Amino acid sequence: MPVPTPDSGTTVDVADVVAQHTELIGLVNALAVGNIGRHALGPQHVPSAVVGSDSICSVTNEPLIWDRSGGPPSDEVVAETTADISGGLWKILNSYTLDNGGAGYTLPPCKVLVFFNCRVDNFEAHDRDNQLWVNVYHSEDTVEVYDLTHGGMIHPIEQSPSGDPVDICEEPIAISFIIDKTANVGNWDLDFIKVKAGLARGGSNVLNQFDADIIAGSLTFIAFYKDE
Amino acid sequence: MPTLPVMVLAQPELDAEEAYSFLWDPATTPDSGEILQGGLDSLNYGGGNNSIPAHAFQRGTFARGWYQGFDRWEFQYARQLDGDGATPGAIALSEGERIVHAGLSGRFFLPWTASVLVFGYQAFFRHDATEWGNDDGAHNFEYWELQAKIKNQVEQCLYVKLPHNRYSTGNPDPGVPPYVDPGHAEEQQWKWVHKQRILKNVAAGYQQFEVSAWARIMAPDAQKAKLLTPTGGIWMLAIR
Repeated sequence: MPVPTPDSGTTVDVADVVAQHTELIGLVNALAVGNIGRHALGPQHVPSAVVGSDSICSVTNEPLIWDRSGGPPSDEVVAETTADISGGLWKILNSYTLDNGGAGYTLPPCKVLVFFNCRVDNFEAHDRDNQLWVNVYHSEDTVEVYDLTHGGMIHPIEQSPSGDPVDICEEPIAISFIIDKTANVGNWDLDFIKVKAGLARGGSNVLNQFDADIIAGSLTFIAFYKDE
Repeated sequence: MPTLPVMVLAQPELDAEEAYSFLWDPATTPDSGEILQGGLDSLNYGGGNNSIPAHAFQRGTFARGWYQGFDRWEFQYARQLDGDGATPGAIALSEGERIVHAGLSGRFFLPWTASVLVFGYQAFFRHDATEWGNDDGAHNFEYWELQAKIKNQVEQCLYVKLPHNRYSTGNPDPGVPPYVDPGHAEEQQWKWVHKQRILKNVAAGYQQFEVSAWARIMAPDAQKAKLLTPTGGIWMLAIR
């Protein structure tokens, strides 16, 4: 309601101003979702859409060595199975660990976008039968989760076929995926995200040793509010 | 304090400043009309969490994205480099000697402070780089390398090396004949590169992203070796 116009020679009545304000705040305080207009809300009205994020950038060399001179090969990939990733000889790349200093991340129901990329150097091609496998895994509420779709493999090919019989190859790797926790009712703990890698041989195993270096890369996650 | 209190005026005569303090008086906990400028919460509109319809929000409220891609061939040549690539083993890596990759560089205006800025690039690179056999002596390896910068800071973890992809039994030193043509590059060694990272708590303003190239290319190749990028793109995604 408008404040009554004062008569000539008088002033605005304080009580009228208070009454107008009371009516106004009644509308604001009782604002319903249905009363919020189209495009009424902008970036100045809302909080961040991100509930958690972290990233690590590393240039530490993570060497992988497949060596069977003293028994079963080290850092070996035996099979393309989650059991082999979790319980086999795959090497944890400690330089690529997101765990909030060991405390982990407590998150609400959300979707978590994870992406990893790295540079593989000094990868010995030999007879084209060498393989390097990488898998990004995580732990939620103390349970480790492995998924074969969160991985990748590169297969070196001689870069100069008529040249060095060993040859040294270089390849980039990029992996991304989503952890969907929107079905959760309450908070959950993302304990860590880590990366494992291993080497494998196809064809005849005439070699005793070959190796590769993962020498630069980054691991990142972004957690978004649950969408409905 | 999600709701507005009733106005209580102490002065018997209307004091405009006093009345105005109930209409607009920014505070850590909004208690005036300023609540309409960002202080509303679910107790105000009574809808519970996550219930405001999407059409109530302006476009770009939660995220702003920008992408620049290209499908025309872009070339950088070793001749553009200032470093002494003619001397085997000589590597100069100063910033002034790098070639900016125009197709993989750009800037984006961010109108608000972002919790997270996702940025990256991907491209297919067809480069020329030779392994010189030196008549069975110690080999010399040529390569191209790529560096990414965001907000004028180098992101070392996004470094890319494009290694040698052809072979010559000869010597890269023109003073030591005979010259042996390394031939064409091996197509399987051309790289498809994808790199991506984030920055956190990024202030509003222009966000510059730049990819630049450098090459270690030796004398016989220095006049003609090139980095060809047939296709690629860069992106930035800012999230509130």
